[in-house]
Amino acid sequence: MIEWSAIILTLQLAAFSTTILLLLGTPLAWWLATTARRSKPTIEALTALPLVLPPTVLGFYLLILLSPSSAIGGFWLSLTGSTLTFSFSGLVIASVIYSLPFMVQPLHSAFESLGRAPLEAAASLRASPIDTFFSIVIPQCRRGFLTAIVLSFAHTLGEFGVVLMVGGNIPGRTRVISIAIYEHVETLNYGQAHALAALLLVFSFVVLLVVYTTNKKSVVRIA
Amino acid sequence: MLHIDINTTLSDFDLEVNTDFPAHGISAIFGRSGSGKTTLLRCIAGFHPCHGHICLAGKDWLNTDQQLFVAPHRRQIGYVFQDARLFSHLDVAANLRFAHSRATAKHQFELDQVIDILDLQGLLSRDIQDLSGGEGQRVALGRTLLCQPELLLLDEPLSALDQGRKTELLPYIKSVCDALDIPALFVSHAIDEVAQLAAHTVVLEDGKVQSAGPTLEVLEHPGLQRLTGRFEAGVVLNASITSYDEDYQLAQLVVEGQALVLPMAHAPTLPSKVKLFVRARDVSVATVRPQNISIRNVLPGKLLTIKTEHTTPFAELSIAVGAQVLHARVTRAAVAELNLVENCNLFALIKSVSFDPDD
Amino acid sequence: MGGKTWAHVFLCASMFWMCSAAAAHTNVAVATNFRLTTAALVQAYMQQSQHQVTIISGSTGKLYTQILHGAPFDLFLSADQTRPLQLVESGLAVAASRKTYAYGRLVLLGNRTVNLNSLTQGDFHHLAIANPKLAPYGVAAMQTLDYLGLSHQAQSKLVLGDNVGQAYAMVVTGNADLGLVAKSVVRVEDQANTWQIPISYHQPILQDLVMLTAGADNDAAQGFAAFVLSRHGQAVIEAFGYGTTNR
Repeated sequence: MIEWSAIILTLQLAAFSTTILLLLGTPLAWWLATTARRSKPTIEALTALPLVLPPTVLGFYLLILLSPSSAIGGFWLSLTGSTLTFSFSGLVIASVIYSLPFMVQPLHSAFESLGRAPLEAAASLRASPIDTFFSIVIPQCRRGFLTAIVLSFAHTLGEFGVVLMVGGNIPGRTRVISIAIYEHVETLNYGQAHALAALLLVFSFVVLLVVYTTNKKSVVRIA
Repeated sequence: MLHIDINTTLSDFDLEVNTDFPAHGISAIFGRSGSGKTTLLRCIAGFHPCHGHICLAGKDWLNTDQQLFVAPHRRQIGYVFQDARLFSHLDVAANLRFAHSRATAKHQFELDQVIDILDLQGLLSRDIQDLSGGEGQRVALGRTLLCQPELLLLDEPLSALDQGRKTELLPYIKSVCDALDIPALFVSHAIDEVAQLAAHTVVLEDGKVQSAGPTLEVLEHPGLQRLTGRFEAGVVLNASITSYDEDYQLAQLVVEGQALVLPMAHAPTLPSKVKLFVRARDVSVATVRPQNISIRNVLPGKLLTIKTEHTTPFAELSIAVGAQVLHARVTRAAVAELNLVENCNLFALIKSVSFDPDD
Repeated sequence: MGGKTWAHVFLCASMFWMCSAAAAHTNVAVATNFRLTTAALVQAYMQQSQHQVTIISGSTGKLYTQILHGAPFDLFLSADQTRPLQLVESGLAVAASRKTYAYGRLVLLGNRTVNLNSLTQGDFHHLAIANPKLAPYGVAAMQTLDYLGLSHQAQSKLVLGDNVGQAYAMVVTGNADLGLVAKSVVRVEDQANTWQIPISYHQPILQDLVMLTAGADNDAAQGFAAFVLSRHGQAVIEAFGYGTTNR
C-alpha cells in the first residue's frame, strides 16, 4: 500500500519552496553579482550558511525561531490562528532557508560569468535595467537558472533533518516522504521503505532526465 | 555640439578632458594604448563614473554640480564596441530587431535601409557564432544605427580585425557616417584610420588633451612624434584613382594634376577618391628630375619652409605640390649641400611603399 | 644501562601491563531517556572499578536496528522489553542476562504548571509525544490517552518527535503546549511544570537490559550490568525518577 499522501505532500513542498526560492533568490543573486558594497562578503557567507550547518542544528534553531512564543511565530499565530511549526507553511519556510544556497549560488555564478559586456550593449540600445534583465540576462543565463531550479527542487525532495525537528510527522500536513521512509526503516518495514524510496528515486531521475534533454537543444554551439 | 568637461581617476593617472566636438561629421580620439581614450568614450556613454559636465546640443547628460546623471539607456547614443557584443541567444535579424523595437526617437533609419547600406541581407538568418569578425562588426554597426542615436560612439571598431577585414569594413563606416547628420566619435590608435575617416581629431596622452582641432592640422603637429615609436609626423594627400594595371598590380592616381602610382594587390572600384598618408621620412628631394631611379613617384613642387633642428642631424622641409603640402625629412648636411632655400623649385620623391593605405 | 636496571624496567612494565590488562572497556547502548541516568551510574561505577564505560544513546528503535546490523555494542539498556526479547530470539543476545533494570514513569509536561485537567479539558493546540512506532514511551502515551478516552480528540493535535528528547524540545521551545514524556528527561528547572501520570493509566514501561552475544565475555560489560542491578545502582536510578526493584 503506497503512502500517496506523503508523496503528494513532498511534491507540493518541493514545488512551493522552489517557486518562492526563485522569486527571492534571483534578486539576491543579482545583487551579489553586481554590487560593490562592502557588505557583500557578509551576505555571501550568510547565504552559504545552510550548506555547512547540520540539518538538525538548522532544525533546532528553526524550532526556536518559529515557535509561537517568538516574534515570527507569534505574529503568524495572531495572523492565522495556528502555529508555524507543525504546519505546511512552517515546512515551506524551513525548506526555503535550507535550500537557499542551492538556488542562489548557481544563479550568482551564472550572473557573474555573464559579465557587464552584454548589459552595457543592451543599455546602449535603449534597454532599461528591467528590460535588460528579462530580454538579455534570463535567456543568456538559462543554464544557470535550470541548474538552480533543479538543485533546489531535488534538495527539498530529500529534506529530512530539518523536517524531523519542526514537522511533527503529521500525516497529510508534515509527514513527507523522507520521514515515512525513515520510520519504515526504523520499524523494519523494509518492503514499504523500498517501495517509497524507489518511487522517489525514479521520479527524481525522470525529472532530471527531462530537464537535461530539453536543455541540450539550446546548447550554445562553439564555432 | 558635444561639450565635455570631465575628470575621473584611473589606475595610472587622472583623466581630465575639457574639449568640444563638432555637431556634425566624424571626430577621432587618438592616442597611444592606455592613454584613456576608451575611458573617455565610456564616460561619455555613461558606463564609467566621472565628475564634471557633459552636454550634447544643450541637453545635459552629466552635471555634477547639479547632481544630474542621465543613465546610459536614457542617453540617445549608439555605441559600437571593440568586440561587437552581439547577443548570442538571438540570430542576426533578431539582434537588429532588438534595437529597432526599442528606439524611442523618430526613425531616421529604417530596417531595410540599414540592411541595404551595410549589405546585411545575406547574414540575416545566421547565428552570431557563425559570423566572421568583419561581418560581426558590420552587424553591430547596423544594430547601433537602428536605435536612432543622436551621437555615435565607436570604440576602436577596426582594431580587433585582421588587415583584410579592416580594408573591407572601412568603406562601410565611411559611407554610414557620411550619410549621418549627427556627430560620430571614434577611438583609434591607428593614425591611418584617423587620417582617412576623421575631420576633427583630439589627441590624448596620459589622460590629458594634447591637441584638438581639424585632423590635418593636428597630424602635422611636431609634438605628435612623441606618441608612438612608429608614428612620425606626415601629411594627408587627396588623390583619385584613375586606372589599375592588373599585370603589375599598380594603381594609377592623380594628385594635383600629377600622376602617381601605388602598389595594390586587388583591383579597386573605379573611379574613387582616396586619402593617402605620407610620412615625412619617406619623402626625399632632388633639385633636378632624377633619371634611372627605382622611385616611381616624382612630384615637382616649390619649397615653402625649412625647419632645422640644431640638436639633431635633421631638417624638415615643407613643399607645396599644387594646393597641397608635403613634408620631407632630410639631413642638414643635404640642405647645405643642395643649396636649398625657401621658394626654390624642387622635386619631391616619394617611395611607392609609403602610399600603401594598408600600412 | 646495566643488567640490574633492565630488570627493574622489565618488572615495572609487566606489572603495569598486568594492571591495564585487567581494566577492560565496554560500549553500552542506552535509550535516550536513560542517558543522564546512565552517566550518573557510570560515574558511581568508576569509583569502584578500573573498567572504562562508553555510553551510546539513541531511540530504542534506532539502537535496535543498529544492533541488528552489527553495531559494536556489548550491553543494551532498552526502554522496553520487546526489543531485548527479539534480540534474544534472533540469537544476538544472551537469554540469561535479560533483566528489568527500571520501571519507566510518564509525566505530563507544559510551559506552566499543569495537571490532569490541562489534558482532559482539551485547551491546547499541540500535544507532543515520542513516535509510538519508534519509542515505548510513545506507546505508553497513546495508552494513557486511550485510558482517558482522549484518543479521538487528541489525534488531530498530536505531534510526533523521533524520541522523548525531541518531544521534550518541542514543549520547552513553546511549540507544543503539552507533552507526554519520560520523567527522567525532565530538567530541574522544568520540574515544577510537570504532573505525574499514574501508573494505572498505562501498561508498565518495563525497561530491560540484555548482554549482547558480541560482548558476552567482556568483563567491563558484565561488571557494569551487575552494578546497575545492585542496590547502589538501583538507588541512583530511583533518584532519577524511575521505579525500581528496590521498592
